[in-house]
Amino acid sequence: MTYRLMFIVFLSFLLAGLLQFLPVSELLTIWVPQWVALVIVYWALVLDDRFKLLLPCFVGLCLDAMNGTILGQHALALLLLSFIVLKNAKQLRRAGRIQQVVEIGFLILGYQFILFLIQGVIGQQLTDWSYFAASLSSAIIWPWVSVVLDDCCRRFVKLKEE
Amino acid sequence: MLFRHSTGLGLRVLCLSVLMVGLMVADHHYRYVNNVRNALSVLLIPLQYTLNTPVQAIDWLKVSAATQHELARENVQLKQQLLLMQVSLQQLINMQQENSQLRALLKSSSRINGQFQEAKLLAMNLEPTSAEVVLDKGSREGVALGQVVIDVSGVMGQIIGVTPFTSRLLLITDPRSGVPVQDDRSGFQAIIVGAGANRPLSLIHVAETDDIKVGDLLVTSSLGARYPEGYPVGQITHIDKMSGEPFMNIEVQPSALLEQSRRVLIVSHYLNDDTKKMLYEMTPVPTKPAATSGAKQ
Repeated sequence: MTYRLMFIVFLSFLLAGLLQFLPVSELLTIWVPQWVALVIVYWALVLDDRFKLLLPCFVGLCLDAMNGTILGQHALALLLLSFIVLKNAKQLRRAGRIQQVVEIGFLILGYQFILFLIQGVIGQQLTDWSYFAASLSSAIIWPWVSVVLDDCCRRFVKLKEE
Repeated sequence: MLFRHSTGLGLRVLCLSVLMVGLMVADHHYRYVNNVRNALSVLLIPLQYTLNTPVQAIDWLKVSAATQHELARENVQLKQQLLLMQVSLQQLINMQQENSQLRALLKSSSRINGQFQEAKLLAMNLEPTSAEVVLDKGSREGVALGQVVIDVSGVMGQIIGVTPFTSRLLLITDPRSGVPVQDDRSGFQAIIVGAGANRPLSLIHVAETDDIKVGDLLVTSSLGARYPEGYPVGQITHIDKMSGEPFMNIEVQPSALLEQSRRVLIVSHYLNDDTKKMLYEMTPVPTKPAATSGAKQ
């Protein structure tokens, strides 16, 4: 990874974190997309071989420290998410826009389900199913995320030449 | 790089997953990894303060958009309130004296009023399961692990993590939180535990024969010596007697406005020296009394 690319990756996660934790009114909270997970998916798709698995681990640990959940919960969920994306990167990249949106929706749903399972295991089970609404909004917001990040990449780093 | 590129992706993911699961177990059952959490929390301080800026901006706009007329009216109202408070304070001082005299007659230890420190919540949108909030005061301002936080109407929780500029407050609704309370009417003592964010608290291990009614106010009993005595924790809203079960299901509505309060008070130094010494001797690990008896009481 060049320093420039590392900087862009860092900046994208900072922005995603800001958007995810931005205080909003109570009605909107369940609809806040999983920005950080979306950005992880994007970098796993784009960087492919150069994607370091320590990245989702570290970002996940930061999410845990922020949320006050047990350390490793978000890290494990993000790790498994990026694993699935890396395994199916080719198909995902080739998929049409609508198909991609649907697939990303299911991926985020899976990510949330892992979090949900871990919460259940440690005895703090969620009873509110509206928690999963975020995967729908994440899927809807995905095209914009990918377009904006694609644009950033094209402008500041040349991924193809490396 | 931690792993060579030649090793398979699946293997690397498996190794890291095992590591993460190990970390979760370590964090859940033992409190070994608190240092990692603290280090990460320090990294997150700038993010937390940045997130709070929109809220601050709105507050600032509200003040600057208010007309002089409105401010003058508010000032008059506040002065009236202050007058009323001062009058009731006179009675309170009298009663306090009387109370300490009576306690001296009964040879019981006197109540000690804590020192208060004002703090504000840093606004952020945490996950719905989270019953924690972040305060804008940290160890630089003297906040320490285990201190109790209250708002205008009741107990909010206790401090479970401190960085130089922020601190983390575990609300009483968290399943890890337990508060020793007594019934204000009957003096019956029990423990309140949380049942998760946005859910009523529950009063545990209460038998059917115990003197408890719907509508009773529960105040801290200061058993366990973490929460200062006499602050309201909640009101009983529902009692469910289950046949065949030894204890009743009791729901308690928290007194503190856990969702709305943004200005809170951190209570410190409410224990007298004897109690502190006793606690110190009772604690199994003498070097770190706060960390071991930290979240659970």
